[in-house]
Amino acid sequence: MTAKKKASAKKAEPETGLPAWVKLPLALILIGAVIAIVGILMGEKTHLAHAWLVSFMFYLSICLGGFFLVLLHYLLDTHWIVPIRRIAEHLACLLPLLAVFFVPIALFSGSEFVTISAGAKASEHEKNNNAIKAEKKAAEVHGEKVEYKEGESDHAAHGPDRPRAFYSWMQSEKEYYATVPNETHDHAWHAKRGYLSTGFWHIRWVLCFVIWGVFTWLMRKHSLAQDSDGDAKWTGYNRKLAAAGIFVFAATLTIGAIDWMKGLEHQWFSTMYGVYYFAGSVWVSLITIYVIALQLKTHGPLKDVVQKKTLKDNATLFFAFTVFYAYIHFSQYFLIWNASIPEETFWYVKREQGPWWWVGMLIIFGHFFVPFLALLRQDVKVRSEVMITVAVLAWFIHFCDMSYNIMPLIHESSGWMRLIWIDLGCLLLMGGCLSIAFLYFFKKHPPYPQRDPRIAETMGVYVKLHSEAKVVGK
Amino acid sequence: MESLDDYQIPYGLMAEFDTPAGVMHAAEKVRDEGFTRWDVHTPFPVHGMDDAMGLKNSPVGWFTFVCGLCGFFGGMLMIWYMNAYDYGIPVGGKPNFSPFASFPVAYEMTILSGAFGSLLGMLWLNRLPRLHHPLLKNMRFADVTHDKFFVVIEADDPKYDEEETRKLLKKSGSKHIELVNE
Repeated sequence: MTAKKKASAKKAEPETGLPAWVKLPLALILIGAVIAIVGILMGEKTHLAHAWLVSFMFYLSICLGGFFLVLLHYLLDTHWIVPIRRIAEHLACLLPLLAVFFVPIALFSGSEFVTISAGAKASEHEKNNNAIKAEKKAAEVHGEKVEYKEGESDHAAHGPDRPRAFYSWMQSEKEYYATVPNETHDHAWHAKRGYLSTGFWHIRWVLCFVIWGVFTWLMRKHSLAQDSDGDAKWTGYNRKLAAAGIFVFAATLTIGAIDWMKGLEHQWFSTMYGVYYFAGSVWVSLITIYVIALQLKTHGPLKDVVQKKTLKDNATLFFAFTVFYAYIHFSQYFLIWNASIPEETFWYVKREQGPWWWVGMLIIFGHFFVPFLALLRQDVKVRSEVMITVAVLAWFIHFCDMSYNIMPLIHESSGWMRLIWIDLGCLLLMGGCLSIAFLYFFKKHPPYPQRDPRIAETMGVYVKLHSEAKVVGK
Repeated sequence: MESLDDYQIPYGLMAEFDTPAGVMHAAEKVRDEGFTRWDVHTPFPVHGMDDAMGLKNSPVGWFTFVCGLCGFFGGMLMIWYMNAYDYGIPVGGKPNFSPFASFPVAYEMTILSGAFGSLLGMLWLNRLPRLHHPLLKNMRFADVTHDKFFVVIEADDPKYDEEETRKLLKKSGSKHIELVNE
């Protein structure tokens, strides 16, 4: 998150001429890479892999949020998005580039290198024993013939010290097809095997990035074409793309969230998971765009384009997503709490142990109560010092939120805090790379949609229609 | 000889305008003169009028906030009293009172009393409901629902002076100004 903030502060560089800042993303990459290498040398492979995923999901959020804002503009014809649309378009165009960071995850997705910390191991064992009992019962109810052994679980079965795969269901799948006749201890995977198959998983992630690439780059291409000829047909093309895109967006985002983050614990059920990731993503993305727009307004080329109203509307949508996220996450927790079924509750039970209880509290207050109460007043939404504080909080909380989803898998006690510098390294590395790409886009293209049909309206300029001009002429 | 007019108390000066831009510029002038008891009437909402009139953010939000807060804690208190204190109902081994189970209802209570607070606060601040308004008996003012725009400065404004105010309204471009009685 630090990287993103610095990157946004940097945007002003071509205008204000601060040459020292140009090298900042490069420095971030360097620091990040050094930290990552130190992490590998120290043998923290497990943590590094999960920190990499946290960081990837963090930046994926921001880029998906940018994509959503572009879609929103074309679907609803909102004039307030026009001045900040180019920022959102550039963020969205980073999506296909994120595939570079995803490739290592895909390569090591099935490799068995994950070792969990000692504290987590004991409770993992206990949890699996409980889960296995529940699964056995469920299997009997469904009349399935799956072999189970009491006291053994999917991981424990391979010996407590044997590392498991990054996505443990891939290991279950491999073992299932290696045995004759096919046998598994992992009922959860067995029941979901239609969806959770390694080949299908790889097809899905490739498809997601291809679809994101096609939509975002095509929409930006049309938007840039309009800059040169001012033809309204480009808006028409993009509206059609957006109409299809919003469905594609919903499907791919849900697939991404389920496959890459929720899939780490494939035993779990939550039908709200896609929406949950969506709410958090757009939330953090809106405040990021706010900060970039604010920087460009104060020092840069958007001085007269971004209006007070633009920032206020942006902050209002952020405020709405604060409530939306709280609603979604509460609903997810509440339904699981209320139903009290072990297959679902284990996910939250794990996250109420050790430091994760405090991280949960941090999310409740930092993701909802603090920004909600801080932004209730209208005038606060355009006060830069308040909004920048909220932005720093939002980046930190979203990082915590991603960690909350991923890290309890390998750390039960304070291990996460001890190794958090590796997370920071991954964030810096990816943030630096993405900042360079963003700055490259930004320097190459006009800073805002120059000839959008609504650009005059959003700048508060009234342009007379031809018909009106005639009446006045008479 | 006494006429009915001698018993009339002036309500204020009403100035008519033909365009939204005209009424907006007039409003800016009236605002800059420092009038406090005056209003603008238009057939439709005119964007930017709040600034032109120098209106601050409405205090209705405070009614919403305070009532919403009361609704939230009132809802929590109600559920705790009913389900945990007065007549405990154990369900599925769960605690008799839990903020999670109570949250949806407390949330609804927040919305409900927040909405009531907004509505009643708005009515109170607008001094509504009222049975009569002096402008409503003016035939010309009826055009405010059609295509005319009005600035009305009330006679009890401390800066009000029939001659001076009339001049000001004339200067700001009104073609028709008349005195409205109570």
